[in-house]
Amino acid sequence: MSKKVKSLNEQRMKKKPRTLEEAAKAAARRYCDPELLKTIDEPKGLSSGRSNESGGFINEDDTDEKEKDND
Amino acid sequence: MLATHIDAEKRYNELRKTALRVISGQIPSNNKLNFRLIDKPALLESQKWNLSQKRLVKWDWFNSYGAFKYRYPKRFELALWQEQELASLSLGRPTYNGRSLRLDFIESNPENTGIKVFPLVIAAMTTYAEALGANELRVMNPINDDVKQYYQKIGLIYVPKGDYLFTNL
Repeated sequence: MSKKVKSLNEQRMKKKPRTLEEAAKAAARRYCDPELLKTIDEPKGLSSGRSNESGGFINEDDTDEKEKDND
Repeated sequence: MLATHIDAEKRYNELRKTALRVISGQIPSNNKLNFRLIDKPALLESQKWNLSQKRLVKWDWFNSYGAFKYRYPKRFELALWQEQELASLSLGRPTYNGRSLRLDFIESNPENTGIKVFPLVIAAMTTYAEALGANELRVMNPINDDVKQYYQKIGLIYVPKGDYLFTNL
C-alpha cells in the first residue's frame, strides 16, 4: 500500500468511531440521493456473481488469495 | 454445529438485523420498501424468477443460500421487498483480513420495472460494514459491461485482477 493511501486510511480511521445511524445517514445521502438516481439508469436484470452450470453459487477462496496479494 | 458457530450466527444475525433496521430508517418510506434478512418466503419467491424471460442468470438461490449461510456467519445478506414483491436478493461476506466487505451475489427481480435496487443494497452494505469495522466495499464479478459501467457511475472503481469493483467507506 502506498504512503498516500495509507495516510488517507489513517485519516478515515481518526474520524471513527461514528454511530450506525450516522453511517446509514451518510450512506443514504451518498447512494440514494434522488437527484443522483434520476441521472443513472439501472440495467435490467442487474446481477453480479458466479455460478456453476446448475446455478449453484461459486464462492471459491482463491479470489481471496488474489485479494491478499493486492492488500 | 459447534456451540461457537451457533453463537457467532446469533451474534451476527442481531448485527445484520440492526444494520437493516437503521438503514431502513434513512430511506424515504414512499416506495414501501422492506429491508429483511433472507428467509424461506424470500427464497420461495425467488423461484418465480425462473419463469421470467428477462432473467439473465439461472441462479438457484433456494438451494445455494444454505451452504453460504453455514460457511459465513459474518455474511451480509438482504432480501429487499417492495410491498409484496421481492425486489432483490444479495449475499456477501467479509474478506479474511476483515478490511473489506464483499458483495458476492446480487440479483434484482428480472420483472422489476420500478425501483433501482443497487443503491439501496450498497447503502445497507455500508451500514453493516461499518458495524463490522470494515473500511472498504467490494462488488464481485459483474455479469456484463453494462452492469460494470453502472457500478462505476455510482462511484465504484473496477479492478480487472480479481474482476471486482471497490469503494472506500
